[in-house]
Amino acid sequence: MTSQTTPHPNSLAASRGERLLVLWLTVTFLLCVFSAVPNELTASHGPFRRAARSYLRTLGLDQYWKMFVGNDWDIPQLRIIATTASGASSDVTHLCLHQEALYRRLLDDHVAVAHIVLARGDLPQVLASYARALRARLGADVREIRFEQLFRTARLRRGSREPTTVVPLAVYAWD
Amino acid sequence: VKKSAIQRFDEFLYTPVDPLPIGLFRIAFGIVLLFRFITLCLEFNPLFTPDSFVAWEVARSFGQSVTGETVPYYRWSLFGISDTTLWARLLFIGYGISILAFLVGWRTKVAAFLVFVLTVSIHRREPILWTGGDLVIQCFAFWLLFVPAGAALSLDACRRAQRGGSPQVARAWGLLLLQSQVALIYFSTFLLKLFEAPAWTNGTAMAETWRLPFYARPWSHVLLGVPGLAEAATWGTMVFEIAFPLLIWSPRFRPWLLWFGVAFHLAIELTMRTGTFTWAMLAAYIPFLTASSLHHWVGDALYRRISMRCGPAKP
Repeated sequence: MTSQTTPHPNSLAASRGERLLVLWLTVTFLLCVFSAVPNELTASHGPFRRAARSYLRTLGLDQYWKMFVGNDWDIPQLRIIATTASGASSDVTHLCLHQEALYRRLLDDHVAVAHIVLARGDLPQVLASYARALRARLGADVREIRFEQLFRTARLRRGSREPTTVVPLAVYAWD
Repeated sequence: VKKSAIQRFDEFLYTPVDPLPIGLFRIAFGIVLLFRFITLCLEFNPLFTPDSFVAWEVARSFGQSVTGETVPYYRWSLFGISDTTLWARLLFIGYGISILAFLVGWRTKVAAFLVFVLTVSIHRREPILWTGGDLVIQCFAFWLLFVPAGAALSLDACRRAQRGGSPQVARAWGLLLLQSQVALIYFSTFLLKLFEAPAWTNGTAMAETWRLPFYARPWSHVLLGVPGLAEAATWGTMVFEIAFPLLIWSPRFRPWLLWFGVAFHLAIELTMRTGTFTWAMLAAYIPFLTASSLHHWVGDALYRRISMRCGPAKP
């Protein structure tokens, strides 16, 4: 570090406050390093690791850099179907402006959506919120909003244009 | 006279440094923030109002689990004060003003604080949207709270110089924090790929990534036809991500790693859609630039002029 520094005319000795600040920042950064390494390497430090992550996430220092590290490259695609009181169904996926973000979330998890729903408490709530917002946009005539998952692995791997699997994800109905 | 270990440690952390790289980083980071802010404004209604796709009562309890384990934490956000469109608008207006003030270095400390608080608040209001680039922004917004981001190339510095006041002192530990965060990103993702992602260790990851419709550029599939390119890119990524955190501290390797890193991130941007990630990471390279390299690139005369006008006072 010192090799890149330029002597400054106003060289000041570090105050006690600055030293304490640097100490706190150093400890915080070391916790960032600890929390960012894979679970396998720190498996025996479970409670401490969770405490460190709680502390860092409270600060706003989330450190989980899992860029493209998924094991399962199945590509889920969301489809949203709205059904009116008369029984007419239509694909309203395009109305969900936020859908790409949801794709990304699903993609990041790299597991079948059924697993996400079971493993993550968040997703059903998010889909319910989506359903409510969509119905508010579509009108009270809508009786049902259905979320489906299309898996397009075959298209990607073998050149087929058709999705191979349609998995029901969630259904929200109103009387 | 032999220096004691404590003296050496003190020198390592507390030596005053030229704040120009920090000032330049503040500007680049501010530009990334500003562009991201504009794109968020375009989707303000569906994302941040009470009628948004993710309601606040869902967002406020979202994400308590990380990597499958329960991690409770205090989920503070200014959006928690009021779930109304008016309040969301006020927060966005405040965010825009803070980013502009931070960019030009006006009341930089206050602006940096507001940028950090509002960045985290907005991220927590809309928990699904964000990608790695947004996480990079959030982390650097935190570390920038503690470095003198307005000590150079800022209105604050100009004002101080005009008044004949003493300049803000930047110390080595501030630069070290910013640099270490970049190193940690590469180190962490290398370990995750090594231990949790067979696609990276068997050399197929880039081929798979270039097929992902939501990440790959339309032309990326052409790369799949080049024999060996996907494997080379996979292994090259792994080598770079471990080489950077280990070797970037050596003055001998640093320029090579930075140039390679620029090419690496531009290649990512050309082949994949990764939001603000590329630009945030390239901005984060600036703290690795030395004052002497800035002298070299900017030219001595211009550098001195910049330093005199909006940098720290010179002897």
